[in-house]
Amino acid sequence: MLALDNVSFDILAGEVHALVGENGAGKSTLIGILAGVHQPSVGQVLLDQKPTVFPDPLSSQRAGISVIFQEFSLLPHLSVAENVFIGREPRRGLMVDRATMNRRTREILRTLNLDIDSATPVSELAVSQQQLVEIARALSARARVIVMDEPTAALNEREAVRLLEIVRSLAAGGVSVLYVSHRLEEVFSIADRITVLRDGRHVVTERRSAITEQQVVSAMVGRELVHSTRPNRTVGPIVLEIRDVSVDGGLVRNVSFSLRRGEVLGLAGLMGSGCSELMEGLYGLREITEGSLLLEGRPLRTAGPQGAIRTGVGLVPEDRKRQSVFPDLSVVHNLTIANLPRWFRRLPGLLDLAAERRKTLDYKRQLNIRFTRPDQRISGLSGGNQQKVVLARALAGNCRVLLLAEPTRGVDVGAKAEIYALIDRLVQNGIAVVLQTTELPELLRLADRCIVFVAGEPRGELCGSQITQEAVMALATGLSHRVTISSASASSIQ
Amino acid sequence: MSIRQTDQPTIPDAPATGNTINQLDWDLLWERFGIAVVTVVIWLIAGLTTPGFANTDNLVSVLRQSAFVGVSAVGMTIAIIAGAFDLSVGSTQALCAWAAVSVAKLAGVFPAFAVAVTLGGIVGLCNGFLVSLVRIPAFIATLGTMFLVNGLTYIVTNGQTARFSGKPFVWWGNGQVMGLPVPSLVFLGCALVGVAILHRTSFGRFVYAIGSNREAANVAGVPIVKTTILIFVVVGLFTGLGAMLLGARLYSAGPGLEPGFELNVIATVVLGGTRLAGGRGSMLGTVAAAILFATLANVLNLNHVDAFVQRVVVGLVLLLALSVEGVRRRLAEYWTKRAARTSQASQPVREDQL
Amino acid sequence: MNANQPRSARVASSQVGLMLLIVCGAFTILSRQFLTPGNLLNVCTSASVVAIVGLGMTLAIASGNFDLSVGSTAAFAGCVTMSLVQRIGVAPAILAGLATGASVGLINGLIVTELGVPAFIATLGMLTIVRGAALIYTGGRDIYLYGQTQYKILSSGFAPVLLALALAFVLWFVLQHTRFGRHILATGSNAASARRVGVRTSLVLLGVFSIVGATAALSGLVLSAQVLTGNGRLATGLELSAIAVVVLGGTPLTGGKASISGTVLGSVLVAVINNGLNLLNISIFYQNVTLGLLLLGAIALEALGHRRTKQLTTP
Repeated sequence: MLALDNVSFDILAGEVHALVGENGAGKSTLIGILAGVHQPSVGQVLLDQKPTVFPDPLSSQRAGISVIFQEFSLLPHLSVAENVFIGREPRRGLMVDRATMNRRTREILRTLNLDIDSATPVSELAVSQQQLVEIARALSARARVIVMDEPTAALNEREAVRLLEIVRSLAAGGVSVLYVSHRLEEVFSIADRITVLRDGRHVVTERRSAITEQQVVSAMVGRELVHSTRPNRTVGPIVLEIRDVSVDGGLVRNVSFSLRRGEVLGLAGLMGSGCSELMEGLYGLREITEGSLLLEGRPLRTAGPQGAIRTGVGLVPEDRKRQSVFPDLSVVHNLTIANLPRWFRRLPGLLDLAAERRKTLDYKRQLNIRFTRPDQRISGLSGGNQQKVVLARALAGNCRVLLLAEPTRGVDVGAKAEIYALIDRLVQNGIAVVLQTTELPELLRLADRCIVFVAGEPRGELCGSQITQEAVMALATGLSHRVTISSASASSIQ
Repeated sequence: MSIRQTDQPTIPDAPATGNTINQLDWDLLWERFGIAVVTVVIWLIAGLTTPGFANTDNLVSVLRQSAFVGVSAVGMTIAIIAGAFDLSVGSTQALCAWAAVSVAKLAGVFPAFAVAVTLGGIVGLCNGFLVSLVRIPAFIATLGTMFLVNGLTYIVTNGQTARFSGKPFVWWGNGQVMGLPVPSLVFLGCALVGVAILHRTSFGRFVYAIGSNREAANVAGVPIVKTTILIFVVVGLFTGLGAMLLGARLYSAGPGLEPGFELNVIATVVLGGTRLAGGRGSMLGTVAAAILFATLANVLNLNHVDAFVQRVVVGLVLLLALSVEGVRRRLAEYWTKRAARTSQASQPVREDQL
Repeated sequence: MNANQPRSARVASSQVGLMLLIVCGAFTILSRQFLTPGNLLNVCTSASVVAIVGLGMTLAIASGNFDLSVGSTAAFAGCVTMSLVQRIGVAPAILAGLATGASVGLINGLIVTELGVPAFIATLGMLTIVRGAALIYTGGRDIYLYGQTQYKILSSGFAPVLLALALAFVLWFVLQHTRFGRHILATGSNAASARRVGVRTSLVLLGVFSIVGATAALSGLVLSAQVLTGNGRLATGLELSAIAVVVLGGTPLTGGKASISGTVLGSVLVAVINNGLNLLNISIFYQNVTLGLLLLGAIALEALGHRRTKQLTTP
């Protein structure tokens, strides 16, 4: 599976070229190559029709390519002017020529309509202003191509409109902009040409006037459905109820839903939609700042992961490498870690190693996890099997609500199917599942109901057969403003 | 066919580094047993080249010497596996040793033992509190406590050394049981206790988890704050015990006892194979490294090398042990960069190459 | 003194200033000898010694690193210089001493940047190695200089104070007005971003560590000039005082900001406290304890303050 597979397209001078694709379509890798952070294994980048290599970030900048990453590359303690001119500070003898630096910065900022003191430390600016500082830096470096990665992700509507104007004027001035975004409304209001990537491959490059939004959506998702289909589920009583919940003071807002035993509720949305934050809030990794949660009728106050596990909420996190796996430790250790006798209650908390082994082998059978010995290091297992161990870890806590965040990310097709079958079985046995995924076929395969989020708010709900890739994508990209009021679950209620 | 990609491309089913069924994991083996092998080799070489090394009395002395750093290193091993470490063990040792000697004079062996260990535990508690609740980075917090405890020791002792040569007390530092020095037996016992803690208790699992992946440990519900505090307490307890043994050995103790002790302890743990980054460790390695250092000191002594040189050797060995990881990483980076640049074949972009 | 000092650092150095005034006031009341010119000169001299190495340490901390080997470097440089004064003259000997310090710093920098060893552990190891080197160099004995008045200049009268102030000005200038200085702050602010935008962080760090080594050497030279002895045991514990005055002065441990004036004030504060305690016949051992408490207190305040200050917002 390649990150980028034979992707070719070109960017013309002075054009706004939109790059569109789902998460994982290959956009980040492409950006990385342009930024000099990654190297292509095959193929070339041609600048002015001449093959160029960017072994490091500096060379790509010198060649006139400026990349504005989603998380920015600003130095928080330094001033606006210093960030704009970092590495290229004008000098007068030994000294940095502050006056010239400030003057030039002010000029650039003026063209961007940004009215701030160029001596302000960048950490004191609002995100939209910081973004303009990044653009100013690109301009001062005489960039010929500016790559913007999801530029409006953290902006409000007014700021986004202003940004789009700036992008237009940049292009009018001869600078090419590679505008990477999944917000099709913006893309269609500003792009000259649009390129769609899917699964690492190039799907289409077309002038904006020659393609419709619907066609772009299809190009983004167009793939055959997974062979197995979602079984009909019988749902039980309500096990989790959340009302008007906000997480972390507003990252996600106005969320209300109820979850029943035996059902899978999907949370869908593209990057920045707030789904992951909601999942973390449900598990206690983030603060629920508003609203109420009831688990089996009793208020759920998750004071951190320990509390969540104890009250019967389990999580399979979305970033396996960062949040789940202990690479140096064995399979047994990884599996049992969430369930150890609490040593401070019953000193010294001695472990029953034999019982742990048995439990591990038990799960090995149940989940069909492939490993040789329980005490081998988990880093030797494939991604799919590692994920199964993480799943077993959540199950070992006897959870009633299972939160699955991107459960098959980085997992091959075979293991994927197995995990889907597992989830079916778990749900059949009465566990309630909240599934957060950006992988649409997975959503279709597993979810009975699905709430689509955009920019931190629920935008619409789809049930049963309403859940199609196009419908979800249309809601997620903000194209469809229709809010579907959910009817009762399509299946029977016990 | 739907294939998922993440922002970081992965090969979903290719096993990453680690043990496979057919190959021996040389990395792991070296980590666990490497230093023990090196120690044995050095013993052989020393025995053949240095006169005076290979006689029983000398070997017993080497073993005895290794115990004083070793006992504290047992606790430090636990801390480093969790990704922390403690610079205050030197000052703590001085304070506890002095307390042990003074109390032994007044009240006998077991009160001395109790006081030394308790004092160590209290210092550890302070460290743990600073690190986990006040959120001061471990090395700076323990740097501060080192200073504090050092000063406190001077104040409490008024700069004086305490002395005591009562037989039952000094036996703990100088005696032998069946030919083996008492401190070494205590050291061995501590190492076994350390192993038991690490492998048989929830606390031990938490230690490994925090060191291996702190964020994942948090997500998995590991009580990080409580565990961190207990880690530092454990370091303090072991240090206190070792301090009593040292006081018994020297018949005396006072402020300024063994400057550079903390470096010796950390060097012992690192040389023994426990990585500074945490998550992996070898108690056997710590034991072997403690003996190795004592052997080196002994050989240098027998060759009439300056005491100063010995301390330089410890520092050099530590840096060497730490550099191995860095050098290896550099080489790996260099080779993958070269491969990517000259590669003509179509290779998937792998996660571990980025 | 630092226009680019954000509010928090400015607050910290004014806090130090305030504490300084209070402490001075207290000691003036408590001891008749405090305000005498001779005593004040003593205070300034000892403040200068710590300030010199503290100023170098300020750069290190601002770049996101530490150097625990400064005490040993000071001793080593002192020994080297003392041994050479009578052979090659005062000025060349001083240069040799400074070069020694810079070289030690360079080695530290190489270990950190090329071998990837964390700074505090690398310099912890170097602490022992350099101290041992100093002891080996002197054979464990002291090197005396008889009747060498020229070298004594380094420590007589206002020389140490002038040196410290001159150094403070130079380093302030570097940090404020040169590319190198701004890149030091950039590296400490966010090393990964800095690399991404083209800052040569490795070279910056090599420069920083070399400067730290040189300032440590200068400190050691002044110390050895005070007693006219080259001693391998000189300046033990200097690193802790150096870190303490930097932290007290308001330079955050996390890097990205530097307060030169804060470090200077911090050095004076520590010197005044030690001096005052001396005058009141309080045991010298309490000075260590006080310093440790001050250090921990300052860091604790900084750590607790972090939770409340706004972080750099990222999407």
